[in-house]
Amino acid sequence: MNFGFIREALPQVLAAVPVTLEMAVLATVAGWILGILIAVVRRNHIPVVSQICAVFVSFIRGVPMVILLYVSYYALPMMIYSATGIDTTSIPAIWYAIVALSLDQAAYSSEVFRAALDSVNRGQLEAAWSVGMTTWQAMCRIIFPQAMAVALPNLSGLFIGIIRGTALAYYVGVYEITATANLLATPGLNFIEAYVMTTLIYELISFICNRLFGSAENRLNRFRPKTAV
Amino acid sequence: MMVSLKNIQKSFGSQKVLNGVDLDIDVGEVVVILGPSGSGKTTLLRTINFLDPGDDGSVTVGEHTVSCKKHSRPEVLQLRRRTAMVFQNYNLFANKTILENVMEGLVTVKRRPKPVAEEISRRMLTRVGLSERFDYYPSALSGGQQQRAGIARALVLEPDVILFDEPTSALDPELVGEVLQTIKGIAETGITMIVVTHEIAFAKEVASRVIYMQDGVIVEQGPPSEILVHPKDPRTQRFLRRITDPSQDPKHIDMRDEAVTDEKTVQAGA
Amino acid sequence: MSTFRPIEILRAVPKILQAFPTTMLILLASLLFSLLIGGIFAMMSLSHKKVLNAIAKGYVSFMRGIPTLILIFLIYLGLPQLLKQFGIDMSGISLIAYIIACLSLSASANMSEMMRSAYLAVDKGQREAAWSVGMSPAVAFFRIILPQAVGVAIPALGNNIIMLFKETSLAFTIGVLDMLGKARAVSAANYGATKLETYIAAGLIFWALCFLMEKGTRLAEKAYTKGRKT
Repeated sequence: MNFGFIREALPQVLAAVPVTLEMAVLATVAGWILGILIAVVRRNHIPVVSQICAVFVSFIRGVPMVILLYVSYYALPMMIYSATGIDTTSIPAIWYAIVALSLDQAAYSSEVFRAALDSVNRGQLEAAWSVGMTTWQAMCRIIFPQAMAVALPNLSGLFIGIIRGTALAYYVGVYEITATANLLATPGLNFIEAYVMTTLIYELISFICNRLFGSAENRLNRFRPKTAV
Repeated sequence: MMVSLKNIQKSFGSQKVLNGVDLDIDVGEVVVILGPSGSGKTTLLRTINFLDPGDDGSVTVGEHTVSCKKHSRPEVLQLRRRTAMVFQNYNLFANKTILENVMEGLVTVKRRPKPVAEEISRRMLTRVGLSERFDYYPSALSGGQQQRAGIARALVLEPDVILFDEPTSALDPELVGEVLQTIKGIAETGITMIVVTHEIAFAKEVASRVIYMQDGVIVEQGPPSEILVHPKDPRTQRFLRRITDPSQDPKHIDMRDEAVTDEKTVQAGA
Repeated sequence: MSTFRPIEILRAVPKILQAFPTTMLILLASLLFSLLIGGIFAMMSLSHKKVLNAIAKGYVSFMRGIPTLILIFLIYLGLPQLLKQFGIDMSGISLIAYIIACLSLSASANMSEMMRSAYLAVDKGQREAAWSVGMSPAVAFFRIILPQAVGVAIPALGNNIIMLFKETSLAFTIGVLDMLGKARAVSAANYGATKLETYIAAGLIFWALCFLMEKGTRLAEKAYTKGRKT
């Protein structure tokens, strides 16, 4: 073990943690919002849009993350350029990665949200209607909070998954944790040190995320019977 | 006239459930609807607040009339705000405490300030005997307690009419009494109520009018002393015999099965 | 900026498919090993010994937290370095073996969870009923519990296989010529002028195969649970 290398490299790798988190969080926020929309569209069987969403979900779920990243990285600039004429060379690679990761989250989370919304008893909606609420009020105040409690364990898994996925952004030139570690390790061939260090950082991140989601789950689930949890 | 139904028609798929029902209910009446499973009584109740909109006919509550064929969303909303419902399976909002359940309509629909809504809700829950349970979630309560909370949730909105959909059918036998007692207490305050139930004794004691339904039509109606004691129609007579003394009827076991299929049809249609 | 020529997608497809056997080899071998490793950890997590439970739980959460890419780098680049210090030479091991090892480890966490929850999903009464008619625990497991657990696990297994299949695309990262590796080679042969088209072709191939696997899973589930589920 080359401890000198670790001392020198650790601060630099840690400095890349925010890049990884930025990608994961932005992609999650965008992806889940899109995922909820897709879930609602598909549950209500809105013609045409619903079918398009089904194909989208199937496609994203069938294509490896690396390929999604590559396609987003090479296709988006072309599309932006031909649509608007804007020169895209100044757009940092991270944004293409975020787009790809968002689409991935959207597809997977839409299935989670769909199942979660299905799990809420229809009587809940009828009860909300019976006291005079609009469907929108019922969704926001009654249906969605209950669905979230059901969805959260799976969403937590998706978020950990996206943290793992961000490592692949290395291949489109984003200097997140993995890329930084690789860059530092190569000249002196300090691979074992670099990757053990990186592994520990990822494990720590996912440990903290699990904790956060766990406490959110407890809070959202307080209405459920204790025996069933 | 508080509630007026004109020629209500309703089918689930090819199955005709309501075949032209006319019904006028006065202010302060307590109407109990009886009938075998599959007679359309629950569906009739649900057409009143448009949980299952009728195919034809019209519904009037107070001064507000909505046509079943052509109804807009705001119209239905108006209608629902004049009515309230107590469900067979309680349907308390699972993510809210008992107190929040009762407050929910006051705050989101009637736009009462929270402290006011809370005050009213506490009083209402105390009235139905749940003063010790304000901060419990529904899952922590017995069926009887949940149903009493459901009644409080309906009552607190001061609706023109409260619709009870078999409020005691899902309860364990020993809990039926407390809920019926609560409903009886409310009936005495003069609020208009429509109750779908199988409890003959309750109908006898509380109803101002009993309606017997079968096959999607009203067979006969009148004061309980008439309908329950001296029914004119043979169908009513047969039903009452069956329900008061099941052992005399070889089909009494089938009724349970019918109840199950009936519920399924209703849900599939909903 | 290069122009987009859809015809190049069609041209790339047969070339990429040349690497289909390699990808399949990686997939099947990793599937086999991940089921074996997953099975061991599932048994540990279901045992009555607290230590074994903790080890299994730790393993699963470790594998779920580490990016597969890091695992690949750790084992392909790091491990030989480490072992060299103990005089062990790993230079004779093929690239494909490395990838199979990494993917097996990575997928075994999901496989373990799948088996565990399938086992737990079988009603306790089934075991008690089997014992009550005099079956030994082992016989009860193989004749009563396992067949039911397999039925429960099929959808999750299909899902895990699809995940694993998608992860085989990481083989290119250490220079294996799997389908994605082949796609990169095709693109490089055209001096990168057909990058996008080639990657789209690779994506479509993966999509089509995943689609088939999903259909296969559904058929398997139907065939297996036929007459068993009411």
